Amino acid sequence: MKIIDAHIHLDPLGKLFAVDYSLGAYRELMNRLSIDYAVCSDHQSLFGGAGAGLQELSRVHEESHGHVYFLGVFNPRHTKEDLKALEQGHALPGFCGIKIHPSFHGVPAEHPAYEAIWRFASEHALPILTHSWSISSHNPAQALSRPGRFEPYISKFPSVRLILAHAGGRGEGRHEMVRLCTQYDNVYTDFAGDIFDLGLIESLTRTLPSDKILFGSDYPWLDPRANLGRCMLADIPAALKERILGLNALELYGLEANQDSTT
Amino acid sequence: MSDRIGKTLFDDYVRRRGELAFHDCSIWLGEPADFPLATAFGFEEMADYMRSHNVAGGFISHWAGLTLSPQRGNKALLDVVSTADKNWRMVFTGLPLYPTDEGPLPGQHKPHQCLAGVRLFPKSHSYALTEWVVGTLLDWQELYGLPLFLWHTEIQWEDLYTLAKQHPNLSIVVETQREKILYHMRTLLPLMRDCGNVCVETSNLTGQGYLEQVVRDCGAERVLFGSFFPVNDLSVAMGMLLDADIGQDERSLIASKNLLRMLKG
Repeated sequence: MKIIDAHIHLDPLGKLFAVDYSLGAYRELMNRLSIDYAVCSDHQSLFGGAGAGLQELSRVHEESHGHVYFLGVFNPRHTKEDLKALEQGHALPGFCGIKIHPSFHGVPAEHPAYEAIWRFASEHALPILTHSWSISSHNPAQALSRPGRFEPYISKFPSVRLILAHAGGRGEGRHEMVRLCTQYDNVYTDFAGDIFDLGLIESLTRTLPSDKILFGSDYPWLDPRANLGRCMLADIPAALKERILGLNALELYGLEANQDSTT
Repeated sequence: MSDRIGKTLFDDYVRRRGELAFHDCSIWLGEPADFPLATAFGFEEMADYMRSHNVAGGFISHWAGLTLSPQRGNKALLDVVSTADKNWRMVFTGLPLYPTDEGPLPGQHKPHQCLAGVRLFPKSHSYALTEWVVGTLLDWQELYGLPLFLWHTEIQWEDLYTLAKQHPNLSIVVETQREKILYHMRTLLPLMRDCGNVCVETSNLTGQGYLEQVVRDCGAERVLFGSFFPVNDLSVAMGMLLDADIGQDERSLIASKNLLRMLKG
């Protein structure tokens, strides 16, 4: 059995207090919690574009001895620059997919500016991890990442596997996420972050195909122990836990295959 | 990890959970506000669920105390908790100017035997959290050893600091709901270091290393197990505690002993 934290970040952010942002601190947690691999996207690239963080992420992959993989960020406001950086970066050891964040970049998920990255992902057989959420009264930008808004691209690029992060949030986005994961073979979800709803894991396993749910922490925003413990204690069969905790991410990102070729 | 069998690992979590008799300071009855996917639990249903998940007892609050009126919320609690076994206690919602208001409100009389604490919602209920507004109520709580519960979203930190200094014998529990506490940890930690009567509950104390940091800086005696049930899954706060890098004695304090000690005054 493998445990894969499929949603982490490792670099500092001013408004976020973490006791220790270092790779060493996360590696220590990985050892304590038996986490085998992690998939990381960085705050630096969200702000500065894909080119800003790829070399640093590649270094993290190397220093983690191949245990921390990474995603390249695409900002639809900087299509040319980011595509160029991703074109160069996707061959780096440890590169395993794309990250988009419509709320952070202020561009709705269905906007034509995203076409280029869906095409890129399709051509390079890369999964896309996206922020997703529900409509929020205190953060209006969350509406830009409502799961339903991704549907035009989901149906246009059936070979691109899309992971809707945060289970669609804590509102009606959840229902949209469930519909998309059920309706489309290429849509997945993770429950990274503080989506701490009672019985969420049990509910997701009842409504979604078992290969569609991924464990993630959103570290260092959230400590992996919050979501790991609830998965370990969930009232579901052991085989399903193994799928959620690692096997699904392993297959989706092809991590074992990469690991064999990089270490 | 590859040499471990998953089932053994899962069973180990259940076993470790079983070793701790949890007491939960953040259990809610009534219709949750602003969590559209959350389900309301009745008292018996809640108690059964809790017992089946190794929670032996706890402090119960009512959403109506926030959303409708403190009096309605407190009355609803009295109706169910006053006849329950002594493992379940109430946290009333308080208001300043209580002597002229209709009850039940904390501060009006000698506290009910099932009352375990008082929560204030100064922001939602539109009053200042200052000595000249809530001082009389806090004096009453000090007299009867009843802790003050506060959501961090309901306060100004400077107000809390001042009150904590003015009432050094009053236990104050900062609750990490109902939004992320992580944006406020740079304030909460120094405040707790400086004010020995301020504690924190665990339901959203889920940022990287937060639990260990509070224990290191302030001691495990200052942390209370809270789940924010039934909005949140019990196993989130449990998982954080089970895997925390602290001693078993500290884990036990947080899981239940601190809350039980608080009950004894």
